Amino acid sequence: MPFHLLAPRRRWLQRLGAWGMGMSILPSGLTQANTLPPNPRLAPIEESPETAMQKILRGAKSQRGRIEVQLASVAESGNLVPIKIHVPSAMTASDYVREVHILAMRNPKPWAATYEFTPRSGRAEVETKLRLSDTQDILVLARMSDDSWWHESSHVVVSIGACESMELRY
Amino acid sequence: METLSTRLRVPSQARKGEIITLRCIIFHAMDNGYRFDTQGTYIPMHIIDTFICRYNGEEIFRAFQGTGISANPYLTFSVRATESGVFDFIWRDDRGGVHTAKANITVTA
Repeated sequence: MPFHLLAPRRRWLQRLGAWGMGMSILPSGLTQANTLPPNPRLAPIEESPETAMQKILRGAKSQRGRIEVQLASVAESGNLVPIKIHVPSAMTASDYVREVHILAMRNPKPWAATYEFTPRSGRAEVETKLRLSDTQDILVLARMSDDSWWHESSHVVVSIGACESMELRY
Repeated sequence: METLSTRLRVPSQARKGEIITLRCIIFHAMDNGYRFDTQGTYIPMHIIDTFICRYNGEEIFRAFQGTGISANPYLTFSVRATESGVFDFIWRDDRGGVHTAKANITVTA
């Protein structure tokens, strides 16, 4: 059966699993300070890059620029692709970078990550490693404290995609 | 709940007002829900989907992650050192499991 037909059933099973685990964890004395809400941005099923973009921008217009993206132009394996993002900003209480989003435009679930900064961050800079299915454009979107949106995209050639190396988990 | 090993790199000392870089990694497979093991059994999605960092109890950085982040998710971010204290690193997985780590910092004038 194709994946997208299996997805609703899987989602149900996952929800049941999450609930069951939550129930078993609560009596063991989990402190309130460490409970985090579920991630609202996690896509339950595959979606198109346009949908993923709209879910973030919600109709806002974005301009190109202001973001510095460091990404290798060729990655041998899609399993580990380092990326570094810097958005130059004063990072004061009135002028700072609120959010940075990463979208991998040809991944089955394009939304990869969202980072939320505060003026205390000092510098809007983040570094992580992506998992990419294919050669594609990586789109980085940033929302400033005045609600203006900026974007930058970067192309990366992936020799072996993360979805092709099925038996290798790492 | 399983305990996952984490590694932090936080400077132990900083000057007041200095912007310091914090690095952290948690060892987690980040199963993306597209893979099968060697026996052909389906591996359901299981990822670290939320991360937050608190500086003396105040949240300074938050990350939401999807399946597009590699196994053993690594993160580097910055913070302005203002006072001596403790950094709390908290990871949450999509099944509700929570993993934590701590690091201390001494801030000099």
